[in-house]
Amino acid sequence: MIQRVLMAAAITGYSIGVVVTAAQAPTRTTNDGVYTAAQAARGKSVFESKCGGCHEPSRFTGDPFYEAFNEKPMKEIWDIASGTMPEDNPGSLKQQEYGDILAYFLSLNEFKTGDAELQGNAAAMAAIKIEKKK
Amino acid sequence: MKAGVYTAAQADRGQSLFRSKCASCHAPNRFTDDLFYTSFAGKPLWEMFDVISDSMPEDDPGSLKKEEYADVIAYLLKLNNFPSGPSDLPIDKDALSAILMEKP
Repeated sequence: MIQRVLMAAAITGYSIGVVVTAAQAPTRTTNDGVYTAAQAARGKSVFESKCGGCHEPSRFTGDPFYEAFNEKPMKEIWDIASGTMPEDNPGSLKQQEYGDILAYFLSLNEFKTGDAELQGNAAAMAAIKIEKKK
Repeated sequence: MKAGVYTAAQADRGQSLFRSKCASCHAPNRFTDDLFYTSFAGKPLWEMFDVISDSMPEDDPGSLKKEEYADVIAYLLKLNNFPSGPSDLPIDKDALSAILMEKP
């Protein structure tokens, strides 16, 4: 009986592993219209009140941005922003506020907008690859 | 690190620099917490020097003298209660690579 339970757990674990792996391969890029203009405007407000004390927006555009994040999943910048910022209270924003801030960064880099908002969670961020504007 | 890799006078200079160049964004306790050790424990001190001297201050990265970056790091070591010693923390890569950052 114990053996069967363990085997069932192993099979379940295996299938979860497969699902996670599949979800983590980026299926879209920043050129695919992955945020909305309204969202970026919200993100700008949050950025100005929560981030602007230490960070210039120019830090998140052009060379500084691409040197750090080009060809990487958006989850990389998501993990840093939501895991370490604001420095005096890391993780204190709502998940969607972090998503809105990243949408603002995409607007700063002049990526086109789309119909749907950028979702503020790690899985959604893992599915989008950062690439240079086409 | 236990041997005393910076001097007390250097850490004092670093504290002044930190207050004028870093404190508007960084609270000192940011450099004594778990996140700090996650980033740098078990690594050569050169890694910390490299990150800070390359990326800070964010509005003008690399604008401090190498000696000033070393002074700031000496201050961070003091914050973490590492002992001071007879010589200043060096600025060259080989010397800093030979010092391992560990938990106090």
